[in-house]
Amino acid sequence: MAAPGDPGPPLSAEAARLVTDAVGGAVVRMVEALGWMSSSGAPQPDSKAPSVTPLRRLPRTGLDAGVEAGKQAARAPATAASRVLDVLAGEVIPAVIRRLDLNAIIDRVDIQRVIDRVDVQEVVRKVDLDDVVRRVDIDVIIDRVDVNAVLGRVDVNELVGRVDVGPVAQEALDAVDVGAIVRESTTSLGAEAAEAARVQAMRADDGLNRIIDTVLRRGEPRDTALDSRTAR
Amino acid sequence: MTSVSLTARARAHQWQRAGIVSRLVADVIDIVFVLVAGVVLLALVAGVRALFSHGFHFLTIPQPGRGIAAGALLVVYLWVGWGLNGRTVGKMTMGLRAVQADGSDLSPTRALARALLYLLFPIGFLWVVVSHRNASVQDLLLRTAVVHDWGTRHIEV
Repeated sequence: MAAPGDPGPPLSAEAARLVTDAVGGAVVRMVEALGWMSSSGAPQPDSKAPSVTPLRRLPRTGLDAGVEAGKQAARAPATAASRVLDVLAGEVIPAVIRRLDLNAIIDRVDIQRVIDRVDVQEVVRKVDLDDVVRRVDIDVIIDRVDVNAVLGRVDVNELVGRVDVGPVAQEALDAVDVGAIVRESTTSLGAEAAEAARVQAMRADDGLNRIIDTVLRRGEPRDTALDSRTAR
Repeated sequence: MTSVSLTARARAHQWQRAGIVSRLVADVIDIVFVLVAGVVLLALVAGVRALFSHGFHFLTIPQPGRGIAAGALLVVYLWVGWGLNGRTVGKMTMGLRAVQADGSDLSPTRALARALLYLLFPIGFLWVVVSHRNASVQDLLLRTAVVHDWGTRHIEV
């Protein structure tokens, strides 16, 4: 086989060799066939005895040499074809590829038709997504994501502008009983304030009563209980 | 002051006759409430009149009609409050209740008489200061009383 850098023999010379080898092989095959015909014409009583034919009378070494040459010639076509292939792969095809405008060819290919022929669903069915996902290291992916950069690209105002706040707010208000909260807090505050005022007034009552009772020199505290007695 | 002492003082005063300070604060609240209610009433009347005239003119009542109307409004307010459950807005705020001397509810007649007496002889209220049982002149005449009642009638003192 020719080395990648070796140009090898010219193509015309290889073709001539191929033809001569084939013709030589055919001649030798014919000679062998004739020898077989002449030896099988009169069967011998003793098969072990060497048969004597006109062709066998030729010098034996010369005949063997011719047969061997024929055999080699019979193998010659395969060898020659291999060499031709080497030449094609080494020189012709690269030269063809160099002259071809692959971009033009690709432009002529209707990729959409190719895609249409592909049964994507079938492909997807064959893919074991669980296995694929299992192999993915999510943490590594997350570490690589620059969240600040992503957020920097987001136009928050545009995003908020798209949100229909009305229904969202209405839903939130429906979920939260604002009236009850306001009532509860107001009632609680009002009750605490009123309670404080009541107790302060009670203290003032007690203090003032003590002062007045002292001034009036009453020896006993006031009787503030309700009973059936007539008020004095 | 802790909440425990607050509660203890409040519990000790339940259904006891109230002193002058508690009652005075409640009465001041009542008077302010009646004044505001009177102004609102006048505005309402003026608004209704504006529907049938060319402009809004605040209603002005010349004396003595103004005083009579104010007195009538106060009497009606006190009568309704005491007659229904012994409470006006001021007494409700201060946790007080006007009752008969034995603790029973005021009858409508006694409530009206009490309101009229307070309008005609308001100075009688000051007897509470010196009364041994925290009673005003009106209380003595009508056998009524004003007690602390925070809405816990069955509280154990």
